[in-house]
Order: sequence, then C-alpha cells, then structure tokens
Amino acid sequence: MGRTPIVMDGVTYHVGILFDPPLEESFRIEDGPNVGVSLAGTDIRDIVGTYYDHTLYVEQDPAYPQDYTAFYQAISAPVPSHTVVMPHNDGDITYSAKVLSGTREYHGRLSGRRIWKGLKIQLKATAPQRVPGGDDNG
Amino acid sequence: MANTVTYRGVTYPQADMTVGSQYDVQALDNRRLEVGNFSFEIQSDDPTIVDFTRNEPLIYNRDGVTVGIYYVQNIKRTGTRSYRLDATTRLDILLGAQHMGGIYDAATASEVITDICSPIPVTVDKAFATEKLSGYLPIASKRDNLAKVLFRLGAALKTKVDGSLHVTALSRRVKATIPATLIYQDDANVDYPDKVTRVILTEHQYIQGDETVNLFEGSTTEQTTLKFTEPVHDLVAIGITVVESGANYAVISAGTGTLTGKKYIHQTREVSREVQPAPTEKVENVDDQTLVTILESSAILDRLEQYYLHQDRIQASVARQNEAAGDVVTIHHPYTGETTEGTIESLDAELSYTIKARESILIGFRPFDPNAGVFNRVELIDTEKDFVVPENVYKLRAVIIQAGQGGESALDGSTAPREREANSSTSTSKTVGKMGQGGGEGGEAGEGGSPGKVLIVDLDVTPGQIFHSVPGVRGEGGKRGTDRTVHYPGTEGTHSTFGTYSSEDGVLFPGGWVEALSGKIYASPGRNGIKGGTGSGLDDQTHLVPGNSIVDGEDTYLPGESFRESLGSMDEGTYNKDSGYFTATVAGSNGGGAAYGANGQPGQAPVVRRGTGANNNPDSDIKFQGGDIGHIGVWLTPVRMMYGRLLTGGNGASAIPFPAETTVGRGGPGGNGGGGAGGYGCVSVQNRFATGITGGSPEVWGPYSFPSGGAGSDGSDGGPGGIFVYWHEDDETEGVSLP
Repeated sequence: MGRTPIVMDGVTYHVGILFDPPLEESFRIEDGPNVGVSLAGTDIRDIVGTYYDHTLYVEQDPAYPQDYTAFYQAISAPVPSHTVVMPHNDGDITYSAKVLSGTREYHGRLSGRRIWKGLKIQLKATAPQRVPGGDDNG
Repeated sequence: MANTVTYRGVTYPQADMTVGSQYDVQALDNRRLEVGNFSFEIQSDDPTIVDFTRNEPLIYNRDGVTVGIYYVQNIKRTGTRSYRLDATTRLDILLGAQHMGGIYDAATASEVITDICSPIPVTVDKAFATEKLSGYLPIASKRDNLAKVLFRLGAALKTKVDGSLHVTALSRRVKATIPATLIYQDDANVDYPDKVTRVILTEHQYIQGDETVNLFEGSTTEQTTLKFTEPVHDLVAIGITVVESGANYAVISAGTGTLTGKKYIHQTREVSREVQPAPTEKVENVDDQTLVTILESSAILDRLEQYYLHQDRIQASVARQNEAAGDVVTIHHPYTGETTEGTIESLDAELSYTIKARESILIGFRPFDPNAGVFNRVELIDTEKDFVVPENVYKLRAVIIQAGQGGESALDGSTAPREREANSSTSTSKTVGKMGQGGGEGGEAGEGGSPGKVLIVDLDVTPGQIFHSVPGVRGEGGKRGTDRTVHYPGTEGTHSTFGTYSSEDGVLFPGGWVEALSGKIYASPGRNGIKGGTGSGLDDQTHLVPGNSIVDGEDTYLPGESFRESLGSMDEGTYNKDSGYFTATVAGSNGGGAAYGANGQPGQAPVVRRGTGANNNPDSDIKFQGGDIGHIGVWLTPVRMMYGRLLTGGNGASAIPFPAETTVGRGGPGGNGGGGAGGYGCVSVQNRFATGITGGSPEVWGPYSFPSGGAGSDGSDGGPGGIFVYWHEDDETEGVSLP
C-alpha cells in the first residue's frame, strides 16, 4: 500500500499518514465579538465562518527516512502557522493552520537508528474556510 | 453579511478588518450638525498606505451596498501589518471652513445652502429649495451656519453615494422593526430625563438703521480683511478702496483712510409654548436661531414641542439591520414588552458579520413634516370687514397694527444777522462801511410721528369662524400754530381691532415690524422732516459762504442766487479842495436758504450805473434814482458827500409738507423747515483828502428792506391702521399680494 505524503508550506514530505488510527477532521463555527444573548433569551450569533481542523498520525516512509525527520522539524518549528493540504470531502483543502501540539513515541534503536513512531499532530485553521455569504465549495 | 472598505482603489474584505466602528448621529431638533465617524483596522502588506492625504474618501460597503462615504483624517500603524484608519463624514470638512455669513432678505434656501457648502456640491430637496430665508448669519464655521439654515427649514443633511451633500427631510415611515430577539440583554436601558415644561423661541428681524459706526481708521500696507462684530450696511470708504464686502466683513486695499458703515437694528420677539406640566419648571430657550422670523416661529414651536415632549430614550445594543440615525423604527420596549415607535438619534456600531449597534431611540418621536404649519398665506385687512377663517385652517396668526401718529410741524427759517459796522479814519482818509454776516439758519424740521403699536396673537380657530376687523384711523399731522418757535405734534392714530383683540395691548417696534413674506417694513417711526437750508452769507473776510442745498431722493432744492462781485462802484471822484477824493463800492448780496419744495429767493441785484463825478455834476449818469437798490450817490456840487446803500439778501424758501404716509402703522412724516434768510451784502465809501483839508462826508445807508426766513411746513398724516392675518395652506394657490 502506498503511503500518502504530506504537502506543507509548498514542500512535499514523503511520510505516511496513518489511517488507523484514522485522520480526524473536525469543524467549528466561530462567532465574532458581537455574539450575545437577546432580551428574548435567544442567541444573537456573529458568525465569522466555519473552520475545518485536522488531527492526524504520521509514520515514517522507510524509503525516505530523512523526510520524517525534516517534517518533524518543520512541524515543530516556532512559527505562527503553516500552509497545509489536507483531505476534505472528495478532494483536498488547503489552509493556514497553526499547530497546537504534537506527540511521538521513542521505540529504541534499530541498526543504529532511533526508531520514532506514533507522531500525532493537531492542526487548527487560523481563518475560516467558509464565511457567511461566501461560496459553498468548502 | 460582510463589510468591505474601499480605499485608494483597494477593497479590504471583512477578513482583513480586525476592528471597525461607525458612529452615526442626527440631531432630531435640527439644532446641531454633528460629525459622524468611521474607524477600522486592517491587515495590509502595503506600507505606503500611511502616505495619505487628509480628506481622501473611503467607501464603506455592506453586502455590496454602500453604507457611507467617509474622509480619512488619520492613519496609525498598529502592528507589522496592521493599520488603523480614522475617517469622518463630510461635515468635518465644513467644520474646518469659515462662512462669512450675511444679512438675507428672502434669499432662497438653495442659494444660501450652496453658498455655505461651496465648493462641496450640494443638492436641496425640492421641498426646501425655494423656501425664502430672511435674517442674519454671523461669521462662523460653515457647519454652524448650515445648522442654522437646517433648523430654520426643519431639514436634515445627508451624504450621497457620490460624496455630495443632500439637504432633505427625514422620512416619517418606519424603516426597521427591532424585536426582542435582536436586542442584546446586557446593556438595554430606558432613560427618563428631566421634563421640559416650556420652550421659548426668539424671532429675529434685521432692519437697516441710520446709526453710523467707524469700522476702520488708519493705515494698512496690504490688502486686508476686516471682520465686523455686528452686521453693517452702506459702507463708505475714504482714502481706501473696498475690494469686496458683505454685511460682516470688508476687504480693503492698502492705504490710509477710514471706513464707516451703518448698523442694522436687530429686533427680537419671544414666543413660547407649554410642553407639559411637571413639578419643577424647566425651560428650553432657543434664542440663537437668527433665521427664524414670524412666519416660521409657530411651526418651529410645534416641532420643538414635539421634540421636547418625547425625551424618553431606549438605549440598547441591537443587532443592526439597515437602520440609520434619523430613521423611524419600531422596537420592543425592554421593560414593558410592548412594541413602541421611535426615532434613532444616534447609533454607535461595532462592525463585524453581525453589527452590534448601541442605539439611542427617542420613544414616540417621529420626524415632522417640515412645511407643516409654516405660514405661507397672508391677507392685509385695511378696511373694516369680517374676516372668515378659510377651510382647513385651524391656526391663525394676527398682527394687529395701530394707525400711525401724525408728524410734528416744523419751524420757520431765521432772519439773517444784521450787518456790522466797518469804519476807520486817518489824518488823510475816512472810511465808512457796513458788512453783512452769515445767512439765516434754516428752520428745524419736525420729527416723524410715532409708529402704531403692534399686537401679535396666535389663535386656534375653526374654519368659518368670523373675526370682525376694524383698522385704525391715521393720526393727523401737526399744524403750525401761532407760536412759530414751537413744534406742534400730530394726533395719535386710533387702534385696530381683530375680534376682541386690539393693538392697544401691543408693543412698539422701534425699528418697525417686518412683514416676512414681502420683506416690507410696517409700523415704523415716521420719517423726520428736512431742516431748512441756511441762507447764503459772508464770512469775516466777506467771502461768500453758500447756503446748503436740500436733497431728497432725486429732488434738489438750491439756495437763491448770490451776487458776490463788486457790482456797483463809482470811480474816484475829482479832487475837490474842500472835500478830497471819494471812492464807493457796493458789493455782494446773498441768496435765501432753500427748503423742501422750493429754491431760496435770490439776493438783491444792484442797479449799476457807471460814470465819473469828474465835473462834480450831480445830474450826471452816476446819480442813482430814488428807487434803485444798492446805489451809490453823490450830493451837492461840488461833491462834498458820497453815500452807498447796503444790498439785502433773498428771502428763505417756504417748505411744503411731505405727502401723507400710506404704509400701515407708520408715523407721519415730520414737517419740513423753512429756508433761512440770505445774508446782507457789504458797502463802503472812502474819502481821502490832503492834510489840513477838511474832508467830505462819506456815508453808508442801510438797506431798503429786510429778508425773512421761509415758513416751515405742517407735519403730515400718519399711516393707516391694519391687520395682517397669516395662515397655512397646502395647495399651490397664490397668496394675497400685499400693497
């Protein structure tokens, strides 16, 4: 089975996205500063838009061990955000994501190389991918 | 539901806006023009955005529809990519520019508004464009003067999509409905301010007066703009040139000189209206609206009454729809739960996908029909009649004017001072003379009669109601009495009545009362008569001092003709061993003073007979006849006596009175003074003789007659009484034209 690489900041990293545990896509509909409660007790929404976030597990592609390390370094870099391409519906979605956290497990050495597994990263969209009144292709 | 801002051709979407606010305000009493503003923070990669020019426009759109055009006042950089732009409505530009004001006499609103707003293009709704404005605007900011115009009209100012201004009426239709579900629960409240119990409005009138005021005296090295503290008219410049001027200012050229003008008489009258009862009286005084005249005061009081009757405000943050300041809305009352109507006076919005706007809404207030109640019809009642209230008329204003008093009689002109003696002698000569002096003073004019009292009443009436109307009868002019040193006053005019109302309960308007639809002045003091002209005469050196002319409009009346040269003289006589040489001169005679209606009489012209006394012949042609005036004569053979007779001046002209006054309520003109008598001429005779010789007898004789001053005239009758009745009609028919 071929591995799915990750495209981030325009760079293709030959690592593999695991599907067990699966890649998770979540969405949130955020309100702006003018959200509130009305005299009638109902919500007054100030919908800024819909954000799609992703949680995924990444494994090393044995053919490109150095990409795994490069990807890890890039994803954990102290930068505000990354532009990532993630699966969405039947296609992909490209968005600016901030990385909230990431974890991985150390599994000892093999042939002089340290074995890292189970890299889990959480990507959170920095801007709504769909805005009120915008097109509905998100 | 997205906001966008377009600035310098770049459109910034909502996503690029981190903070945005809009403040919209509409003074619902029309007394102020407040500046709206718009601020927002954007993310931009263009650092040149800070290189802005003040007052560059930016357009605020919501969902593709333009909400407003604002003009950038300030830009701050707040982060690496963050910029805050602060902008205001166009009113801010008007605030920074000065308007020179002026006196307006039935100027159209369109003209005045265009002048104030220039160079910003402005359009005026047809409901207001042809409205006539009368009154005064000071030198002030364009915004303040425009506010006065809008208050007078009851109009609002809007900014159109192209950035031009538009003067229009606020709509009375409900623009939006605000249910409880759109009102934020966190800060809703209802404000109940102190109740205004009464409102007082001041009407203004400006009338050209005669008092002269010095505006400038001195030197200036360059063209200078003088600003006056009060309006003036009829500027007179001496030594400098007035390049440009208005009632409040003059631009003068460089130079040394003076500038004078005449003051306006500013008359005011307060009208008031009960608004509502309250335990503590609170009065709202509106006295600075100098474009308010008698015509609109009632309608404006209606507006102010409605405004101050509705001072309770719902103040709440709402999820804004499309409403703006000045719009009528229905809103869920936060505490009673009822749906109530009101008008938004201000709106402070935080921009987001949902706009949260803090709105202040006057409960129960609805913008007024701007033309409702403005008196646009007037009838002058100048004969006794029953006035019938027209259909659909429920308010009247009656201006009841007493007839004017007759003018005061004038005095006669004075006689001329008698001649003075001018005698001298030496051991070889003897000179005798009589020298005339100045001409007689013109007679003092009579003062104009007092104006009639004016009573102004506002009446609630019903169509068909009858008011019996009786105009007062004019006062008669004062008649000259037997004592010619006394002015005799005219009689009072009688009072006018309108139903049970009488001018007797009215007041005097010192400068007259202005009928605002025509601009004519009524019930003003009568014009004073014209003092008689001084007769011509002589100064101490016997030089001619001409009497003054009487000028009234196109009519000029002159002093009588004067003869000033040596009109009659006798050549030196032959020496006589007993009497010596004689020389005689008769010189000058002076015209009588002019008076209104007639020229002065000419001074006496001498009969001239020339010759010599060479043969000492008393029958020669130099011997004057007995009836000649101003003659020189010889006496006895050989000549031992020579004499001259003084020429007398002309009589002063007798004045005629002005015609009776025809203007309602105006005092009658005063009588016109008679012209002064012309002064006497001069005569001298000199006898020279050798030492030791007994001289002859030079002699000068007085005149045959004595000139008299002209008669002053009676005062003239005052103007008749009358009643002006005002009302409002909605149709397009013409009002009754005034005389």
